[in-house]
This record gives sequence, structure tokens and C-alpha cells, in this order.
Amino acid sequence: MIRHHVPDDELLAHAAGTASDAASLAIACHAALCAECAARTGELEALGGALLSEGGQADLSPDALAAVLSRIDGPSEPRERAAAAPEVPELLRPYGLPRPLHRLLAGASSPVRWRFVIPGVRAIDLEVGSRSDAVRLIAFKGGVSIPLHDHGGPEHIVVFSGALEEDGARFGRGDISVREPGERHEQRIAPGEPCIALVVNEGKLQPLTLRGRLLLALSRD
Amino acid sequence: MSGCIRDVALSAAPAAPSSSGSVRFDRVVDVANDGALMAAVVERADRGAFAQIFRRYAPRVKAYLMARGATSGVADELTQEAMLLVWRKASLFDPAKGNLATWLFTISRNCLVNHVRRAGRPIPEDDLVPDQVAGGQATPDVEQQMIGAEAARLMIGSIERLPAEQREILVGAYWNGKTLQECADQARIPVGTAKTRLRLALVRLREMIHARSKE
Repeated sequence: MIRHHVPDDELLAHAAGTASDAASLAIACHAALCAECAARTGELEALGGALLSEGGQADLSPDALAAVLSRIDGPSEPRERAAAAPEVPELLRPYGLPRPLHRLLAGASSPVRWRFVIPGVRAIDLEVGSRSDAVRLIAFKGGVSIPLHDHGGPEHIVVFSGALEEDGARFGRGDISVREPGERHEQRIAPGEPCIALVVNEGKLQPLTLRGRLLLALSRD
Repeated sequence: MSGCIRDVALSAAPAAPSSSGSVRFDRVVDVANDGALMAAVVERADRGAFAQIFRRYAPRVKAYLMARGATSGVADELTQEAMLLVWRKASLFDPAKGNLATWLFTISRNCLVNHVRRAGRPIPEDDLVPDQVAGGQATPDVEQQMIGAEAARLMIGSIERLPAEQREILVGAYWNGKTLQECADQARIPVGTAKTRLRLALVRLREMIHARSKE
């Protein structure tokens, strides 16, 4: 059961198309696994549709319709082709990754493989957002701890497999953790099975302990 | 069908050659036969049905894009792109699961976001169009909980009945691309109050939809 959801203001920004690409990816991944947030997104998008219907009209150039008709080069695509989704790379298939990640992984410019970050932590970098954003799939070994840290920008984490614990709360499959700069936290991966998560940082991590600073210095990032 | 909704997009002179970029405010569109028009596009490649959809929605899509900051020229280009996707991907639209205005809103929004991004990495065309037939979701029970086509239709015409202060938040977020914080700053209210107004607007809309569905 999913316990941790997307806050109202973030979901609104996602539906209105004003959230950053990086944050939107995390929200879309959560909504793909969470019936409640999928329904809330649907409602907010219907609101956008209603505003479109009720809103103003702008004059188009006189040949606008003719221009579109001239670009139509055949019938609509058959449903199978229009809906075709690429396959997830073999090494990620066991984790039930949500649909928003599929095309992204299939369209990656380099082969998708785990790279070593620090002992117990491996990552796959995803090509999303601006250059300063770190958007990664991370595989944490069970029991690994992430020392107390702050963030230079918003942080979104969506768990796909295993579990992450923080402040007595447990984040399992589908749960999303949203943190703003100034919200310090330390996290621990639940012992046992590895945890696979989408980790999105729109700003640098700011370790607040000596161990954290050491780990960041050692990490191959 | 509700009598208060009338079609002005069709009765108004379509695409009059006036100063492009000016915005007219008219009443809401009649969405009743959108599904039939889309079916004609999918099944018969019916250009006449597509032209009706175009005249109904393209001026509204352009007005939305311009409100979000696109110049008239860019808005023309993106409107064409969005309408072309409506034709190409028409088989992904299911009138039983949502209304055309919602689908077109998401496509226009995605085209706009993609345009802003294009300096960086363009996203594939397929990612611009939501799959309404599959619902695009992983959990099978989602579909029952998604806002249905009827509720989405009833939402049209309900927004104007919201209190002005709630409408202001929605227009600020969707049309002017503001964050809730920016909406709050503009209205000179704390962000918590803006969040409350958003929540109240959604509750009020649900109540209105519920009441109108029983009419």
C-alpha cells in the first residue's frame, strides 16, 4: 500500500506543465504506481481541459487549417503502433519500473549499466532536466545508511523495489519522498533486499557529517 | 445535454484574417459530438470531421499557448503541431475515458514544454500524447478512479461559478504558468492560503459536478 503521496502544489505544477522536467519525471513515476495520485492528476488535467474550453480564442493565421491538412500524409496511426512502448533493458526488468521510465531508458545515448558510486551504492544516470540536475536510478544495498544531509534544491525519491526508512517512516514500492532545501534528513535502506529508487536532486547534496563529506568526496560522480 | 453550453467556435467566423494574436473571449464549446468526430477521424480518415475539431479547438489552443508566454508565431507553429498529433494519434483517444478538451490540453501543454526544452534534449513525439485507451497507468483499478468522461464534461462551465479568489489561483497556475508561491505573492496572501484556495476549488468543483450529474 502506498503511504507517501505528492503534495497538492507539486501535483498542480505537474498537471499545469510548470514543474521542472526532473520533478515531473518523479511525479509521473509515482502517479503510474499510485491509483490515488493518478486520479488526482486526471482531475487536475480535466481542469486544464475545462479551462481550455472556457478560455479565450486567438485568431489563427488564415491558412492554418490548410497548412495542417497539407501535412497529413495518411490515416491516423493504428492503435498498436501509436501505443507501442519500448522494452526496458534486461538488467532492469525485475524491478517493475513504471512506464515514464521506459522510453527514457530505451532512448539513452549510451548503454544502460550500473556504475559504482560508493560501496553499497550503484547508479544509472538518466538524461533528464538541466545540467545541474542529478537524475538517477540508484541501487542501494540493504542496510546502507545515508548520513545527515541538506539539499541545494528540491529532492524527489520514488522507490520501486525494497524500502527506505527515514524518521521512523518507511518508503516502499511506489512511495515518493519530497524534500525542499533546509529539510535535513538521514536515511537508511531497510536491511535485507536491495532498494531500487529514482533519485532526483535539483541541487547539490550538502553533507552535514564528517562521514557524509568523506563519502561524497569518495563517490565517483 | 446541458442547455447552457452552446457552440460558438463553429458559429463564429472561423480563422478570420484579422490581426493575428488578438484574443476573443466567448462562451464554452459544445463538446457533445467530439467523440463522434474523433471516431470519424480514426475509422474513415475523415478530414471534414478533423476540420470541425480544428475550428472548435485550435483557436483555444493558441490562446492558451499565448497566455503561457508563446509569441503569436510560436503559438501558431505549436498549435499546428498539437493538431497534427490529434490526427496522427487519434486512436489513443477514448471518449469513454475522458473528453477531447482534456486530451488536447495535455498535448498542447506537452508541446509547449517540449518547445521550451528543445534547446536541450528534444523528447520523442510519442511522449507528447497520453494514451487514454490504456490509461497509461500500471494499476488495473486506476481506471475506475480516474475522472470519467462525463465528470470532465461537467467540469466545463463549472469553473466560472467558482469564487473569484479560487478561480484566480487556477488561472494563475494553468494559464500564466505561475507556481502556487507566485500566485500567493501576486494576491498578497500566504502560500498556505493559496493551497487552501486550491483545495477548496477542487472540492467545490467536485460538488458542482456531482450536483449537475443528477440534473
